[in-house]
Amino acid sequence: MKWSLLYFFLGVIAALLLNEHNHLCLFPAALAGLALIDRRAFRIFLRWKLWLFFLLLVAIPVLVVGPRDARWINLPYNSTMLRLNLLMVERSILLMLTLRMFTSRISPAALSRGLARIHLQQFDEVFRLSQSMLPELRAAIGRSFKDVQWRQIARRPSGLMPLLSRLVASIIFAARRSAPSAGQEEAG
Amino acid sequence: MHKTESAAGPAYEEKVIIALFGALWGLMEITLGALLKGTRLPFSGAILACLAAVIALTGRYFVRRRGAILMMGGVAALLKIFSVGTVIAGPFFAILLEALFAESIVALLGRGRLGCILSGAVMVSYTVLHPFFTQGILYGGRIYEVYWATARQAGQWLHLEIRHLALFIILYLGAHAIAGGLAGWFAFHLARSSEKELERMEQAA
Repeated sequence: MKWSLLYFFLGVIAALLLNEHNHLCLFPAALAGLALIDRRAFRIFLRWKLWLFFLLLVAIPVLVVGPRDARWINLPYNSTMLRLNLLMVERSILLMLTLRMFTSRISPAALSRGLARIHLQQFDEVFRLSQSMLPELRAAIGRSFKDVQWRQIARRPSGLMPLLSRLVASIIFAARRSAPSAGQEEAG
Repeated sequence: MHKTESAAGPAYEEKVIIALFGALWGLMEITLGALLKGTRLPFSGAILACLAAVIALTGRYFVRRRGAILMMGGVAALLKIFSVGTVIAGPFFAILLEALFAESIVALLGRGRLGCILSGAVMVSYTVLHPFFTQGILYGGRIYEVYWATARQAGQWLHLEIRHLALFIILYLGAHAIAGGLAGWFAFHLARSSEKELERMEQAA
Protein backbone atom coordinates (compact mmCIF):
# COMPACT_ATOMS: atom_id res chain seq x y z
CA MET A 1 0.00 0.00 0.00
CA LYS A 2 2.81 2.40 0.96
CA TRP A 3 4.70 1.76 -2.29
CA SER A 4 1.52 2.04 -4.34
CA LEU A 5 0.77 5.40 -2.72
CA LEU A 6 4.34 6.58 -3.35
CA TYR A 7 4.17 5.60 -7.05
CA PHE A 8 0.75 7.25 -7.28
CA PHE A 9 2.01 10.55 -5.89
CA LEU A 10 5.15 10.42 -8.07
CA GLY A 11 2.97 9.91 -11.16
CA VAL A 12 0.68 12.79 -10.22
CA ILE A 13 3.65 15.09 -9.51
CA ALA A 14 5.25 14.18 -12.86
CA ALA A 15 1.97 14.94 -14.65
CA LEU A 16 1.60 18.29 -12.89
CA LEU A 17 5.21 19.30 -13.58
CA LEU A 18 4.90 18.75 -17.34
CA ASN A 19 5.38 21.95 -19.33
CA GLU A 20 6.55 23.08 -22.76
CA HIS A 21 10.21 23.12 -21.73
CA ASN A 22 10.54 19.76 -19.99
CA HIS A 23 7.94 17.51 -21.64
CA LEU A 24 10.37 16.05 -24.18
CA CYS A 25 12.47 14.51 -21.42
CA LEU A 26 9.99 14.24 -18.52
CA PHE A 27 7.17 12.51 -20.40
CA PRO A 28 9.26 9.60 -21.81
CA ALA A 29 11.05 9.25 -18.47
CA ALA A 30 7.73 9.05 -16.58
CA LEU A 31 6.37 6.56 -19.11
CA ALA A 32 9.49 4.40 -18.74
CA GLY A 33 9.17 4.56 -14.95
CA LEU A 34 5.52 3.53 -15.07
CA ALA A 35 6.34 0.69 -17.50
CA LEU A 36 8.95 -0.62 -15.05
CA ILE A 37 6.46 -0.53 -12.16
CA ASP A 38 3.41 -2.01 -13.91
CA ARG A 39 3.36 -2.82 -17.61
CA ARG A 40 -0.27 -4.03 -17.43
CA ALA A 41 -1.43 -0.44 -16.85
CA PHE A 42 -0.66 0.26 -20.50
CA ARG A 43 -3.63 -1.91 -21.48
CA ILE A 44 -5.82 1.17 -21.22
CA PHE A 45 -4.46 2.17 -24.62
CA LEU A 46 -6.22 -0.80 -26.20
CA ARG A 47 -9.45 1.21 -26.07
CA TRP A 48 -10.09 2.83 -29.46
CA LYS A 49 -12.40 5.42 -27.92
CA LEU A 50 -9.50 6.87 -25.97
CA TRP A 51 -7.44 7.33 -29.14
CA LEU A 52 -10.42 8.85 -30.92
CA PHE A 53 -10.88 11.32 -28.07
CA PHE A 54 -7.18 12.28 -28.12
CA LEU A 55 -7.35 12.71 -31.89
CA LEU A 56 -10.45 14.91 -31.70
CA LEU A 57 -8.99 16.89 -28.83
CA VAL A 58 -5.80 17.62 -30.74
CA ALA A 59 -7.12 17.84 -34.31
CA ILE A 60 -10.33 19.88 -34.15
CA PRO A 61 -9.17 22.90 -32.11
CA VAL A 62 -5.83 22.96 -33.87
CA LEU A 63 -7.43 23.03 -37.32
CA VAL A 64 -10.38 25.33 -36.64
CA VAL A 65 -9.64 27.64 -33.71
CA GLY A 66 -7.57 30.83 -33.66
CA PRO A 67 -4.87 32.00 -36.08
CA ARG A 68 -3.56 29.18 -38.27
CA ASP A 69 0.08 30.19 -38.47
CA ALA A 70 1.74 26.97 -39.67
CA ARG A 71 1.28 24.41 -42.43
CA TRP A 72 1.56 20.63 -42.59
CA ILE A 73 1.12 19.01 -46.04
CA ASN A 74 -0.66 22.19 -47.12
CA LEU A 75 -3.02 22.02 -44.16
CA PRO A 76 -3.00 25.24 -42.10
CA TYR A 77 -3.03 24.77 -38.32
CA ASN A 78 -2.59 26.66 -35.07
CA SER A 79 0.92 25.77 -33.87
CA THR A 80 0.53 27.21 -30.34
CA MET A 81 -2.66 25.26 -29.75
CA LEU A 82 -1.05 22.07 -31.10
CA ARG A 83 1.80 22.36 -28.57
CA LEU A 84 -0.56 23.05 -25.68
CA ASN A 85 -3.02 20.32 -26.65
CA LEU A 86 -0.23 17.77 -26.96
CA LEU A 87 0.84 18.73 -23.44
CA MET A 88 -2.73 18.16 -22.22
CA VAL A 89 -2.80 14.72 -23.83
CA GLU A 90 0.59 13.81 -22.33
CA ARG A 91 -0.57 14.96 -18.91
CA SER A 92 -3.77 12.95 -19.14
CA ILE A 93 -1.86 9.84 -20.28
CA LEU A 94 0.39 10.04 -17.22
CA LEU A 95 -2.57 10.59 -14.86
CA MET A 96 -4.58 7.75 -16.37
CA LEU A 97 -1.66 5.32 -16.21
CA THR A 98 -0.92 6.33 -12.62
CA LEU A 99 -4.55 5.85 -11.57
CA ARG A 100 -4.77 2.51 -13.39
CA MET A 101 -1.57 1.32 -11.76
CA PHE A 102 -2.77 2.41 -8.32
CA THR A 103 -6.20 0.78 -8.59
CA SER A 104 -4.77 -2.48 -9.94
CA ARG A 105 -2.27 -2.74 -7.08
CA ILE A 106 -4.62 -2.26 -4.15
CA SER A 107 -6.97 -4.97 -2.87
CA PRO A 108 -10.12 -4.58 -0.74
CA ALA A 109 -8.20 -5.96 2.24
CA ALA A 110 -5.28 -3.53 1.79
CA LEU A 111 -7.70 -0.65 1.39
CA SER A 112 -9.56 -1.71 4.52
CA ARG A 113 -6.30 -1.75 6.50
CA GLY A 114 -5.41 1.66 5.08
CA LEU A 115 -8.79 3.10 6.09
CA ALA A 116 -8.39 1.80 9.63
CA ARG A 117 -4.90 3.28 9.81
CA ILE A 118 -6.11 6.75 8.85
CA HIS A 119 -8.77 6.62 11.58
CA LEU A 120 -11.73 5.86 9.35
CA GLN A 121 -12.64 2.79 11.41
CA GLN A 122 -16.38 3.41 11.15
CA PHE A 123 -16.27 3.52 7.39
CA ASP A 124 -13.95 0.52 7.33
CA GLU A 125 -16.49 -1.39 9.45
CA VAL A 126 -19.36 -0.41 7.13
CA PHE A 127 -17.32 -1.37 4.06
CA ARG A 128 -16.44 -4.77 5.50
CA LEU A 129 -20.09 -5.33 6.47
CA SER A 130 -21.25 -4.47 2.97
CA GLN A 131 -18.75 -6.86 1.43
CA SER A 132 -19.89 -9.69 3.70
CA MET A 133 -23.56 -8.95 2.92
CA LEU A 134 -23.14 -8.68 -0.83
CA PRO A 135 -23.87 -12.33 -1.76
CA GLU A 136 -26.91 -12.44 0.54
CA LEU A 137 -28.20 -9.15 -0.85
CA ARG A 138 -27.75 -10.36 -4.42
CA ALA A 139 -29.73 -13.50 -3.58
CA ALA A 140 -32.49 -11.48 -1.85
CA ILE A 141 -32.88 -9.21 -4.88
CA GLY A 142 -32.93 -12.23 -7.18
CA ARG A 143 -35.67 -13.84 -5.04
CA SER A 144 -37.73 -10.61 -4.95
CA PHE A 145 -37.64 -10.08 -8.71
CA LYS A 146 -37.84 -13.75 -9.69
CA ASP A 147 -41.59 -14.00 -10.32
CA VAL A 148 -42.17 -10.40 -11.33
CA GLN A 149 -44.22 -9.94 -14.49
CA TRP A 150 -42.27 -7.00 -15.99
CA ARG A 151 -44.68 -6.59 -18.92
CA GLN A 152 -47.57 -6.20 -16.47
CA ILE A 153 -45.58 -3.61 -14.49
CA ALA A 154 -44.76 -1.73 -17.70
CA ARG A 155 -48.49 -1.55 -18.40
CA ARG A 156 -49.36 -0.63 -14.78
CA PRO A 157 -46.36 1.20 -13.21
CA SER A 158 -48.25 1.60 -9.92
CA GLY A 159 -47.49 -2.08 -9.31
CA LEU A 160 -43.82 -1.20 -8.88
CA MET A 161 -44.24 0.64 -5.58
CA PRO A 162 -45.57 -2.33 -3.50
CA LEU A 163 -42.89 -4.58 -5.01
CA LEU A 164 -40.05 -2.19 -4.17
CA SER A 165 -41.41 -1.30 -0.74
CA ARG A 166 -41.55 -5.02 0.12
CA LEU A 167 -37.91 -5.35 -0.98
CA VAL A 168 -36.79 -2.30 1.04
CA ALA A 169 -38.79 -3.45 4.09
CA SER A 170 -37.26 -6.92 3.89
CA ILE A 171 -33.77 -5.39 3.68
CA ILE A 172 -34.35 -3.19 6.75
CA PHE A 173 -36.04 -6.09 8.57
CA ALA A 174 -33.05 -8.34 7.85
CA ALA A 175 -30.68 -5.54 8.98
CA ARG A 176 -32.52 -5.17 12.30
CA ARG A 177 -32.54 -8.92 12.85
CA SER A 178 -28.87 -9.35 11.95
CA ALA A 179 -27.78 -6.43 14.12
CA PRO A 180 -28.17 -8.19 17.53
CA SER A 181 -26.23 -11.31 16.52
CA ALA A 182 -23.52 -9.34 14.74
CA GLY A 183 -23.30 -6.93 17.65
CA GLN A 184 -22.91 -9.79 20.13
CA GLU A 185 -20.23 -11.40 17.95
CA GLU A 186 -18.39 -8.11 17.86
CA ALA A 187 -18.65 -7.70 21.62
CA GLY A 188 -17.39 -11.29 22.11
CA MET B 1 -39.59 7.00 13.25
CA HIS B 2 -38.29 3.65 14.44
CA LYS B 3 -40.82 1.70 16.44
CA THR B 4 -38.35 -1.03 17.41
CA GLU B 5 -34.62 -1.04 17.81
CA SER B 6 -32.23 -3.94 17.85
CA ALA B 7 -30.59 -5.25 20.99
CA ALA B 8 -27.13 -4.31 19.67
CA GLY B 9 -28.18 -0.67 19.69
CA PRO B 10 -29.34 1.77 17.04
CA ALA B 11 -25.78 2.73 16.09
CA TYR B 12 -24.90 -0.76 14.96
CA GLU B 13 -28.26 -1.22 13.27
CA GLU B 14 -27.67 2.00 11.34
CA LYS B 15 -24.25 0.77 10.23
CA VAL B 16 -25.87 -2.41 8.90
CA ILE B 17 -28.51 -0.39 7.03
CA ILE B 18 -25.83 1.93 5.56
CA ALA B 19 -23.77 -1.11 4.52
CA LEU B 20 -26.80 -2.76 2.89
CA PHE B 21 -27.91 0.32 0.96
CA GLY B 22 -24.30 1.10 -0.01
CA ALA B 23 -23.94 -2.45 -1.31
CA LEU B 24 -27.26 -2.12 -3.14
CA TRP B 25 -26.07 1.12 -4.77
CA GLY B 26 -22.75 -0.54 -5.69
CA LEU B 27 -24.52 -3.62 -7.10
CA MET B 28 -26.74 -1.39 -9.21
CA GLU B 29 -23.74 0.56 -10.50
CA ILE B 30 -21.85 -2.63 -11.34
CA THR B 31 -24.64 -4.62 -13.00
CA LEU B 32 -26.90 -2.00 -14.56
CA GLY B 33 -23.95 0.32 -15.26
CA ALA B 34 -22.22 -2.37 -17.32
CA LEU B 35 -25.49 -3.25 -19.07
CA LEU B 36 -26.30 0.35 -19.99
CA LYS B 37 -22.74 0.96 -21.15
CA GLY B 38 -22.91 -2.19 -23.26
CA THR B 39 -26.21 -1.21 -24.90
CA ARG B 40 -24.93 2.36 -25.47
CA LEU B 41 -28.29 3.74 -24.39
CA PRO B 42 -28.40 7.55 -24.37
CA PHE B 43 -28.68 9.26 -20.98
CA SER B 44 -27.35 6.14 -19.23
CA GLY B 45 -25.55 8.37 -16.69
CA ALA B 46 -28.79 10.13 -15.83
CA ILE B 47 -30.67 6.80 -15.53
CA LEU B 48 -28.00 5.45 -13.15
CA ALA B 49 -28.04 8.68 -11.13
CA CYS B 50 -31.86 8.53 -10.81
CA LEU B 51 -31.65 4.97 -9.48
CA ALA B 52 -28.77 5.95 -7.19
CA ALA B 53 -30.88 8.81 -5.82
CA VAL B 54 -33.77 6.43 -5.12
CA ILE B 55 -31.50 3.97 -3.28
CA ALA B 56 -29.50 6.57 -1.32
CA LEU B 57 -32.48 8.69 -0.26
CA THR B 58 -34.62 5.67 0.66
CA GLY B 59 -31.76 4.32 2.77
CA ARG B 60 -31.19 7.74 4.39
CA TYR B 61 -34.84 7.87 5.49
CA PHE B 62 -34.18 4.97 7.87
CA VAL B 63 -30.88 6.33 9.25
CA ARG B 64 -30.60 9.33 11.54
CA ARG B 65 -26.81 9.52 11.40
CA ARG B 66 -25.29 12.43 9.45
CA GLY B 67 -22.97 11.40 6.65
CA ALA B 68 -24.95 8.22 5.96
CA ILE B 69 -25.35 8.94 2.23
CA LEU B 70 -21.65 9.78 2.00
CA MET B 71 -20.82 6.40 3.56
CA MET B 72 -23.23 4.62 1.20
CA GLY B 73 -21.60 6.44 -1.72
CA GLY B 74 -18.13 5.49 -0.42
CA VAL B 75 -19.15 1.83 -0.26
CA ALA B 76 -20.70 1.95 -3.75
CA ALA B 77 -17.67 3.73 -5.23
CA LEU B 78 -15.24 1.22 -3.71
CA LEU B 79 -17.32 -1.74 -4.87
CA LYS B 80 -17.27 -0.23 -8.36
CA ILE B 81 -13.46 0.21 -8.19
CA PHE B 82 -12.94 -3.48 -7.44
CA SER B 83 -15.40 -4.66 -10.07
CA VAL B 84 -14.08 -2.87 -13.17
CA GLY B 85 -10.84 -3.77 -14.88
CA THR B 86 -10.18 -0.36 -16.42
CA VAL B 87 -9.61 3.28 -15.46
CA ILE B 88 -12.57 4.09 -13.23
CA ALA B 89 -11.59 7.43 -11.77
CA GLY B 90 -14.59 9.08 -13.47
CA PRO B 91 -17.38 6.92 -12.02
CA PHE B 92 -15.55 6.70 -8.66
CA PHE B 93 -15.49 10.47 -8.16
CA ALA B 94 -18.97 10.83 -9.70
CA ILE B 95 -20.49 8.52 -7.09
CA LEU B 96 -18.62 10.21 -4.23
CA LEU B 97 -19.58 13.72 -5.35
CA GLU B 98 -23.23 12.77 -5.94
CA ALA B 99 -23.28 11.34 -2.42
CA LEU B 100 -21.66 14.49 -1.03
CA PHE B 101 -24.21 16.78 -2.68
CA ALA B 102 -27.17 14.66 -1.57
CA GLU B 103 -25.84 14.46 2.00
CA SER B 104 -25.31 18.23 2.16
CA ILE B 105 -28.86 18.96 1.00
CA VAL B 106 -30.42 16.38 3.32
CA ALA B 107 -28.35 17.81 6.19
CA LEU B 108 -29.68 21.29 5.40
CA LEU B 109 -33.32 20.51 4.56
CA GLY B 110 -33.90 17.22 6.36
CA ARG B 111 -35.18 13.88 5.10
CA GLY B 112 -38.59 15.23 4.12
CA ARG B 113 -40.17 15.52 0.70
CA LEU B 114 -38.40 18.79 -0.20
CA GLY B 115 -34.98 17.52 0.87
CA CYS B 116 -35.43 14.35 -1.18
CA ILE B 117 -36.66 16.18 -4.30
CA LEU B 118 -33.82 18.72 -4.21
CA SER B 119 -31.19 16.07 -3.48
CA GLY B 120 -32.40 13.97 -6.40
CA ALA B 121 -32.43 17.00 -8.71
CA VAL B 122 -28.86 17.96 -7.78
CA MET B 123 -27.56 14.38 -7.99
CA VAL B 124 -28.91 13.87 -11.51
CA SER B 125 -28.02 17.37 -12.77
CA TYR B 126 -24.44 16.79 -11.68
CA THR B 127 -24.10 13.96 -14.23
CA VAL B 128 -24.16 16.66 -16.93
CA LEU B 129 -21.34 18.62 -15.30
CA HIS B 130 -19.23 15.68 -14.18
CA PRO B 131 -17.39 15.03 -17.50
CA PHE B 132 -16.27 18.68 -17.56
CA PHE B 133 -15.10 18.40 -13.96
CA THR B 134 -13.03 15.23 -14.53
CA GLN B 135 -11.65 16.53 -17.81
CA GLY B 136 -10.57 19.66 -15.94
CA ILE B 137 -8.60 17.45 -13.55
CA LEU B 138 -7.17 15.20 -16.27
CA TYR B 139 -6.32 17.80 -18.90
CA GLY B 140 -6.01 20.93 -16.80
CA GLY B 141 -7.97 24.19 -16.92
CA ARG B 142 -6.95 24.80 -20.54
CA ILE B 143 -9.49 22.23 -21.73
CA TYR B 144 -12.26 24.77 -20.96
CA GLU B 145 -10.56 27.35 -23.18
CA VAL B 146 -10.44 24.75 -25.97
CA TYR B 147 -14.14 23.92 -25.51
CA TRP B 148 -15.08 27.60 -25.39
CA ALA B 149 -13.08 28.46 -28.52
CA THR B 150 -14.48 25.42 -30.37
CA ALA B 151 -18.07 26.26 -29.34
CA ARG B 152 -17.65 29.87 -30.53
CA GLN B 153 -16.20 28.73 -33.85
CA ALA B 154 -19.02 26.19 -34.33
CA GLY B 155 -21.54 28.92 -33.41
CA GLN B 156 -20.09 31.19 -36.11
CA TRP B 157 -20.45 28.46 -38.75
CA LEU B 158 -24.02 27.63 -37.72
CA HIS B 159 -24.99 31.32 -37.24
CA LEU B 160 -25.86 30.69 -33.61
CA GLU B 161 -25.20 33.05 -30.73
CA ILE B 162 -23.96 32.32 -27.24
CA ARG B 163 -27.49 32.81 -25.84
CA HIS B 164 -28.68 29.87 -27.99
CA LEU B 165 -25.98 27.69 -26.45
CA ALA B 166 -26.91 28.96 -22.98
CA LEU B 167 -30.59 28.16 -23.64
CA PHE B 168 -29.70 24.65 -24.78
CA ILE B 169 -27.58 24.09 -21.64
CA ILE B 170 -30.37 25.39 -19.38
CA LEU B 171 -32.95 23.14 -21.05
CA TYR B 172 -30.64 20.13 -20.87
CA LEU B 173 -29.82 20.75 -17.21
CA GLY B 174 -33.50 21.43 -16.45
CA ALA B 175 -34.61 18.11 -17.97
CA HIS B 176 -32.03 16.31 -15.81
CA ALA B 177 -33.12 18.26 -12.70
CA ILE B 178 -36.78 17.34 -13.30
CA ALA B 179 -35.90 13.66 -13.74
CA GLY B 180 -33.81 13.79 -10.55
CA GLY B 181 -36.56 15.61 -8.64
CA LEU B 182 -39.01 12.89 -9.65
CA ALA B 183 -36.53 10.24 -8.49
CA GLY B 184 -36.24 12.05 -5.13
CA TRP B 185 -40.03 12.29 -4.81
CA PHE B 186 -40.31 8.58 -5.64
CA ALA B 187 -37.63 7.77 -3.02
CA PHE B 188 -39.55 9.67 -0.33
CA HIS B 189 -42.79 7.83 -1.09
CA LEU B 190 -40.99 4.51 -1.39
CA ALA B 191 -39.44 5.05 2.04
CA ARG B 192 -42.85 5.92 3.57
CA SER B 193 -44.48 2.91 1.97
CA SER B 194 -41.60 0.66 3.08
CA GLU B 195 -41.92 1.95 6.63
CA LYS B 196 -45.58 0.84 6.72
CA GLU B 197 -44.65 -2.53 5.20
CA LEU B 198 -41.90 -2.89 7.80
CA GLU B 199 -44.36 -2.25 10.64
CA ARG B 200 -46.57 -4.99 9.26
CA MET B 201 -43.60 -7.37 9.03
CA GLU B 202 -42.52 -6.60 12.61
CA GLN B 203 -46.04 -7.13 13.94
CA ALA B 204 -46.26 -10.47 12.11
CA ALA B 205 -42.85 -11.61 13.38
